[in-house]
Amino acid sequence: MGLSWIRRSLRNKLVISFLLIYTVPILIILALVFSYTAAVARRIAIDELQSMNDDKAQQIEQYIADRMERAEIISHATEVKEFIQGIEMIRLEPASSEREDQHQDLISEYGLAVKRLVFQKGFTRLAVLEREQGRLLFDHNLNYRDIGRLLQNEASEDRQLLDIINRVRTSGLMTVSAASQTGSLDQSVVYYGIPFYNQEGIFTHILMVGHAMEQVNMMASLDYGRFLTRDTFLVNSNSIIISEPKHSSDSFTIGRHTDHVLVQEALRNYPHRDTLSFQMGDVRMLGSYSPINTIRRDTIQGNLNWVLISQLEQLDIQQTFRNQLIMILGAVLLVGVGVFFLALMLAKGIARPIGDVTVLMKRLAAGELTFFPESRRKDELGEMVRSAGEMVQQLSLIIGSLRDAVATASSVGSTISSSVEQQSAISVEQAGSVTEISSTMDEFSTSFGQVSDSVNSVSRLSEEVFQRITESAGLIDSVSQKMRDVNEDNNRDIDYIMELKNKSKDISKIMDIINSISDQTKIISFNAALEASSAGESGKRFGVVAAEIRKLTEDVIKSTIHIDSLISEIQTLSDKMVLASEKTTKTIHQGLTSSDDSVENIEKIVESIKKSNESTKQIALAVQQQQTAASQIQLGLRELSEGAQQNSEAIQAINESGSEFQEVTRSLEVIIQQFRTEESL
Amino acid sequence: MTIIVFKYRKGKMGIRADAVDRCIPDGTCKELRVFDINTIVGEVPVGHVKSLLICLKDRKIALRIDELLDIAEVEEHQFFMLPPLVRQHMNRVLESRVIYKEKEQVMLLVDPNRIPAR
Repeated sequence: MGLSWIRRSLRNKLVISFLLIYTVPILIILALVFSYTAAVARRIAIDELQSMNDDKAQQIEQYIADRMERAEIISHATEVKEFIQGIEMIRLEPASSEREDQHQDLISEYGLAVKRLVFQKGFTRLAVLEREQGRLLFDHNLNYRDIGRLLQNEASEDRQLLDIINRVRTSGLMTVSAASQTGSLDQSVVYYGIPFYNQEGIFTHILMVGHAMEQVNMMASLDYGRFLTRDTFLVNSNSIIISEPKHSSDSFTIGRHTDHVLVQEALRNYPHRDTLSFQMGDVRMLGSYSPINTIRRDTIQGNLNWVLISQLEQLDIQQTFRNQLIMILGAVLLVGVGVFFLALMLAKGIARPIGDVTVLMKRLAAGELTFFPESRRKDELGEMVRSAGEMVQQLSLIIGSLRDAVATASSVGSTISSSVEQQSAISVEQAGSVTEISSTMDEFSTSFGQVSDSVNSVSRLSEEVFQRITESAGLIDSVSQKMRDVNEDNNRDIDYIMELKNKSKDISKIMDIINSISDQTKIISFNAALEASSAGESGKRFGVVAAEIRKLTEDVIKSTIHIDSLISEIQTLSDKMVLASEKTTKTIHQGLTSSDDSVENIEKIVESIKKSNESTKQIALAVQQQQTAASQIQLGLRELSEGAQQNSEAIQAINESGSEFQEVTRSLEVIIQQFRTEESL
Repeated sequence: MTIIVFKYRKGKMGIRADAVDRCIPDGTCKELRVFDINTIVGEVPVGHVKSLLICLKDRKIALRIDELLDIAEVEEHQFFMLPPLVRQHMNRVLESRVIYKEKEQVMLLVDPNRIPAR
């Protein structure tokens, strides 16, 4: 029940599978890492501590050996030899101011060359001592210091220097030692005591060169490794710390580590190397020591006996490895989360197309063809989804086509069924019609006899019509002649009317002349009236006459206007008469034409009647032939009736097949309706 | 006063008879300078019907008119002056007086003296 969510989901299964694939090797690796026990870690830490300590010791050893070689070179340098010879020669002279001047000249002449040589070789200090008396002739800066025997000096650094000088004086070999003027590490100096032999090979002087501990300190401080609590320091054979890099910057006072277990063990076991655990207070420590052997040749004597010591807290080892484990675990978890999401994405990517196809298949099983999944994937799964979608589309198209085909088949079936029914009905009707035709043909046969009698009657009547029409043709001909006479009279009347019209136009012209005369008369009467008016009283009677004439003129003008209107009416009437006569003429012409056409038609009718008579005879003959044909038709109709009966039986069989076909179509429709496509929705 | 009345468009116009020498048919005299009554009154010239020429006394000028209608005696009381505003807009050839008869149209009078010589 608890794992059903895994069983039901492909995606969850895939996620779990991916996680298992990742987790199993990781768990194995983690198991191996955790089995990486504290002992192994301690061993690794010891190896690292010892190895690093040895490397540093070797570096320091190499550095000191290199400086020794350089110091030896200095003792054989020409500048140094000449400088010391000069000193000896001056010392042979009695003390005087002149000798002091010679010293100054010597320093001026050779001192700078010797200093330059010393600095070039990597040293910062140079002193010159006289061997026999141990007198310091020149100090570190080559200043002349004939200070007597240094053996009497009890100062710390000087005591160390005296130790070196005594070693050189007694052995005649180069001696190396470290000294500190102020007791602080940053002021510590490594001194090299070098015996100087003159030209006769006698050991006469001691050269002291030195350099600061800075370089050694720096080499000891290089690369502390991965442990935070690591501490490195350098001790000499007197258990004196001569280098402690961690404290180099704050003038750590040189002290002794006489009670340090590791130091005691290292010096006791010198010149061997080892790593051991020890207790320092409450802290459990792990430490390594490496000797620095500076005596490599017989010509060099050293009292360095240096030991480089590294120590660290054992808790630091566990802490360091724990931190590393936590980092590994964090990385594993981080990668695990990434793997989970990657697995989730991959599982989704795989499960989604399969889910789409599953949905598609379910819908397909339910007959639903409306789901077309799509995928943009270009792999086989995407191809599968697309193929499934295309399959459904193809199925949908096929079902659609099938649906259309079934619908068409159904429609065709219905059509066939109805057609068959119609055909059946028609067939029945045909059978009835054949029967009717058969009886009709019987009547038809009887009728043919009557037709034959009628045709003979028609023939006789045609003869009579022929006689009557011939008489009518003569009458129409005489009417036509009368109409021609009337036409001639009408044409004559038109000519008279035209002449009357011309006369009335002449009268109009005369009336124009009269009008003109009247106008002139009117003007004259006006002028006469003017004259009468200008004549005053004497012209009054003349004025009356003029007025009378003017009135008369106006009456004439009115009369002419009236006559003009009468003439116009006459002309209008004449025109109307001419038009009426012309219309009459046209009518007469049409009558004449119709008469001629009638005569022509009657002649054609006569001809037709003749032909009709002949045709009637032929009809009588044809009727007799048709009677024979009717008998043959009756025989054919009986055969037709039998054929109709057979046709009806065939149609019945088709009808039954059509019913079966419709039944099959309906079954097919029911099946197809179970599929739902986009068109059907 | 005697007035010669002649037809002018749809109305009548008159001219004093003592200013008229005689009436002659149109086109019978080429010595006179003819002024068309339509032109000098300021109207657009139109064709005449039964045109006549009225020759002015003591001047070689004739007026072309449409038709003589009457010679009428007019009393002084039948004249009346036109208002100054109307006179401002009248043609100068017409007199400032008009003749008014009851039940008839107002008759304009041509002033023969104002007919220009050229």
